[in-house]
Amino acid sequence: MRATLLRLARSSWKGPYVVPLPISQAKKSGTPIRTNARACTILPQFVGLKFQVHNGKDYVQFEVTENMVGSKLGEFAHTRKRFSYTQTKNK
Amino acid sequence: MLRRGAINILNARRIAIQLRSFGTSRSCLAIATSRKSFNKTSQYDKSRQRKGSGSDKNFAGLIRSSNFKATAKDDAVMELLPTFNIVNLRLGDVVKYNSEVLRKMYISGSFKPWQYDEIYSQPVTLIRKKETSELLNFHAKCFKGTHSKTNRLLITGPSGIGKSTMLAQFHAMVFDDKKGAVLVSIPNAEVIVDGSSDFKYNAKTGLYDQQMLSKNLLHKFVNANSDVIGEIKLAEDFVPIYGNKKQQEELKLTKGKNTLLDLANLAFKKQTNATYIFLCVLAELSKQEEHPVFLSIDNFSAFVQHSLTKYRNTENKPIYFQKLQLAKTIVDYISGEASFANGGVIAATHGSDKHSINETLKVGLGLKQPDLYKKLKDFDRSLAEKMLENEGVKELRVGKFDIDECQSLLSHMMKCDVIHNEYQKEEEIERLGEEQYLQKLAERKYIVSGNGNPLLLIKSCILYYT
Amino acid sequence: MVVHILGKAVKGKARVAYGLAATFYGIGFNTATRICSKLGFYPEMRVHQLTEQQVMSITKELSDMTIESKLLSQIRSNIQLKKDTGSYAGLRHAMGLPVRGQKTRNNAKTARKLNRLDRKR
Repeated sequence: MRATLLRLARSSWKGPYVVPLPISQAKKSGTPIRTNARACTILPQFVGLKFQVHNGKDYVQFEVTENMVGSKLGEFAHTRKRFSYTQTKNK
Repeated sequence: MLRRGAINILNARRIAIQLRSFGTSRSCLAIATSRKSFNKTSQYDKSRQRKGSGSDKNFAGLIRSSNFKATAKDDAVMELLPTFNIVNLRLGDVVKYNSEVLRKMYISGSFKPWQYDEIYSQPVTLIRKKETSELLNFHAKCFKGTHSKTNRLLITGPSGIGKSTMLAQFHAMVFDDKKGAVLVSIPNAEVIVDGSSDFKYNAKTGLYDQQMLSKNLLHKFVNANSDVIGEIKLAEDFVPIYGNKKQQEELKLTKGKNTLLDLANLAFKKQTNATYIFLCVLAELSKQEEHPVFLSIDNFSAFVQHSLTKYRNTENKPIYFQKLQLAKTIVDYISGEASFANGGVIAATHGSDKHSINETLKVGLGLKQPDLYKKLKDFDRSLAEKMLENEGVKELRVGKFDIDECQSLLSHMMKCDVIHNEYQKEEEIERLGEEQYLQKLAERKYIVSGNGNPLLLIKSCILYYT
Repeated sequence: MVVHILGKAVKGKARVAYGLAATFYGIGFNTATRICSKLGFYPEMRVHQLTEQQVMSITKELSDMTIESKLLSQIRSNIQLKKDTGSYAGLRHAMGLPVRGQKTRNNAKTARKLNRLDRKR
C-alpha cells in the first residue's frame, strides 16, 4: 500500500512542504524566527526553536515541541478571536 | 340502505373465501367498522393479528407456509389424467407422474417452489413436442451402453420457459425405467458456491471439502436410489481416510461383499469425511457398467455467476469455484474428464438475467468465439474450455409454447378450476360453446404470456389482484 | 441466545461477521470478515454455531487488536495531545466544533455529539 493512501494526504514523492527558514542562525543566537509561512511543515529540526507566525494581524510566538512535528506552523497561530460581548463599542 | 350494502359486502366476502385464491396478497374486503374513535388507546385493533400476517410474502414463500395442495379439488380430473411413461410419451398432452416416481422426484428436488405445482393436488407436466422428444432421444442414447463422455447435455433458455421442468421430466424418465438407472441429483448448484455450508481446506487434494453439503446430497441420493444401489457391489475396497486406526478398521468395506448403499450410509455416521465418501460413491458408479448413471445439475449457471465464490481463504481472498471439491467434481463430469461407463450428464441453467452478459456458457457451447481479454466475472475461460472438451456439451434450447400447447394446458387448468381471472367465462362459454371458448382463450393467453412463455401463461391465469 | 465473547454478549442468531461488527467498538464489517475468513468460518455461519474452541480463537484474535476501551483511550489521548500542544484542532475539539474547516452556521451536529476531550464513542 502506498504511504499516501494510508494518510490520505499529500503525495509522498513530493516530500513535506518546507520553506527556507534561517534555522541554523536561530539555533545559534536563540532568537525567534519571524515568518508568514503558515503552511510550512514542522520538521524535527525545528524542535526547541521559537517561532513568530503571522496570524493575519500580528505575530504569535510559540516554542516548537516534539509533539508538534508533522503539523503546520499555522496550526499554532490562531487566526480568530473568541467572540465576547462588550457593552460599549469604544472599549 | 347502508345496512343492505353491508350485507352485500358480507356475501361477497363469503364467496371470496369459498373460492381458492392464489394471490400473494390477502384479499381484504372493507367491512364498515361500527364506531371509530380517535382515542389513542383504541387505535390498535387487537382483533387483527398483525404479527406474521403473511401478506408480505412472495409466492415461493407463501406456498411453503400455506398448504394450497390440500384445498385442491381436482381428484376426479387427476384420476383420468394419463401417467407419464417413456414407452408412450403422448406428445402435447398434460400428464401426471406415478406415485413411486413422484416420491423419488420430490426427494431429488425436481420440483421448485416457483413452478406453481401447488395449484393442483399433485404436480403435472405438459409433454413438449420438440423438447421432450429430444430429451427422450438423449435418454435412449445414454441407455445404449454409451460412455457419459459422449452424453452431455445443457438445457438452456430464458426465464420461465421450463428448463427445470424439462429436467424434472428427465428425472421421471430415469426413475420410470425398469432397468434400474441411478440418478445423482444436485437440485441447485448455487448451494455449493453461496457460502451456506461449512468448508475446510484439504491439504492432500489442495481443494476445499464441504462435509455438510456432501452429506445432504448423499442423503438425497440414498433415499431416491436405495433399491438400485443396494444391488451394486463395490469394485474396490474402501478404507476411510479419517479417524484413528480402530475406527478405520471398523468402517472398512470390502469389494464384492459390501454394496454401494453401505458406502453411502457411512456418510451419516459420526466422524466422517462425507465429501470423500461422495467422491468414492461417484467413482464406484463410474466404474460399474450394469446400471446407467445420470448426474443432473440444476442451476448450473451458478458456477458462472459466482465463479468467485462467497467463500474466502485465510488471506480473505474469494475462492475460485473449481477450488471447491464438489464443484470441481461436477465440472470434471461436465467436461468428460471423469465419466460414467454407462450413463449421461445433464445440466440446466437458471433463467435470471444476472449472467446474461457473461459469455462463458455461450463459448462453452461453441456458439461464440471467446474474447480472451475479458475479466473473470465476464468470461471464465477455464470452465468454457472444459465444456468444449471431448466434442463439447450439447445444447437443448427450450422454446416457447405454441398455441396448441397453450390450449392443452389451459384445458387442463379449466378442468381443475384454477383459472380465476376470467370474469366473463360463464357468458362466453354460453355464447361460443366450450371448445370455441377454449380456442379463443388459448389465443388470448398466448399473446398475454409473451407468445407462449409457460410461467407467464400460468401466472396470467391464476394470479389476480384484489 | 447469546454467546459471550470477551465478556460481551454477541447475538446468537446473527452471522458471525455481523455479530462481531455489531458488538465491538473498533470492529467494522470488513475487519470482522477478515477475522472470519482467517479462522475458516463459512460466510453463513451463525454465532450460536460456534464451538467453545472457535470462541476461544476469536477471543485470541480480538485480544491482539486495539478495540473497545483500549481504542477509546487511544483516541482520547490523541485528542488530549492536540489540545496540549495548543493546536487549532485541539481547540476545536475542546469547543465541540468541527475540526476540518466545515461551516458552523447550521447543524455541525456530529461535531457537537463527538468532538470533546473525553470522547464517548
